[in-house]
Amino acid sequence: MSSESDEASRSDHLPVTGSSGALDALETVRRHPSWFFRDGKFEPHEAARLLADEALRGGAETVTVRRQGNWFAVEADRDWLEGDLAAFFTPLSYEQGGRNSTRVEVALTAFCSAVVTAADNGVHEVSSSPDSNLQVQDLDIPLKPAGRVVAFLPPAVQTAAPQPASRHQQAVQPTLRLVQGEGERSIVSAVSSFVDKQEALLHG
Amino acid sequence: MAEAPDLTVPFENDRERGVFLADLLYLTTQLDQWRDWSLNIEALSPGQRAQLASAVGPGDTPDLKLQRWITLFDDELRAVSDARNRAVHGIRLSDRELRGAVWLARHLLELVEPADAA
Repeated sequence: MSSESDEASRSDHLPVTGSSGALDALETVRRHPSWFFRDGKFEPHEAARLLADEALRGGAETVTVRRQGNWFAVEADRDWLEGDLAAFFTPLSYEQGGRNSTRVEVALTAFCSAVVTAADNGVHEVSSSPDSNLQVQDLDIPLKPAGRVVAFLPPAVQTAAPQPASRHQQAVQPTLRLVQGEGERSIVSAVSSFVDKQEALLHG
Repeated sequence: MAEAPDLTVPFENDRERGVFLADLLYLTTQLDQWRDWSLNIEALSPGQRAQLASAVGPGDTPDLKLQRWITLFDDELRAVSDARNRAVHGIRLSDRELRGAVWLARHLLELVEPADAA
């Protein structure tokens, strides 16, 4: 049996919605954009501002916000997530942000077409959609030896006739790149070709 | 004949997603086993060979059918393996990708597994 004060104390440290419950944390965030954005919808400038604020509160001394093509990137000289990427997948509060704070990373995963992050332990593609691969040539963000960078592609960004990167461009691209959206494209294509081919197996 | 599934349906919750992830891991293990057998059909048990033989058409053999399967569906088998590899390396698969990979793995297996063994 836990006392009331135990419960209150524990709830201070719990995420707003955990992924272990019946609710999908990302789906819950998608239903409640106003938890993060004043206008009740995803707003990339506000997201970048919240990220920069989070980085500063997390001990960074230099924070740079970049806009490259349709991508936004926030770079800091300190890894404000301290290597833990859980904030991309569930709402989490953080001590430096105050009692009712919520890290904004989960909103990026919930709403953006693509999210990539990198720190000294490597690059992690949090999410990407097939369409975001068409804009990967804009993801030309230099990696710092220390600190963290978070890059995100806001939702429903349409570009006019995107040009695929040439082989040379692909070879000299920085280490940030997308693979997940390509994975979805590959599976959807494989499902379609399977349906066409299965008769050939039976008839030789 | 399997018809193309609707992959646009999102998972209702983490539990459903978890079931699909577990299915993907299990089914890809089975697919890997069949890939190995297609390269070394001698490794099949006599019972499995007899079951396979009963499922091939006239003029066909289990060896040929397995060879056709791995040749014809090389891209699809690779796509499923890639999805499994991304999942086990902690990359979150989209709902569409995970649903499609499981559907594909299940139907690839159905083409080679004798019905009463599935």
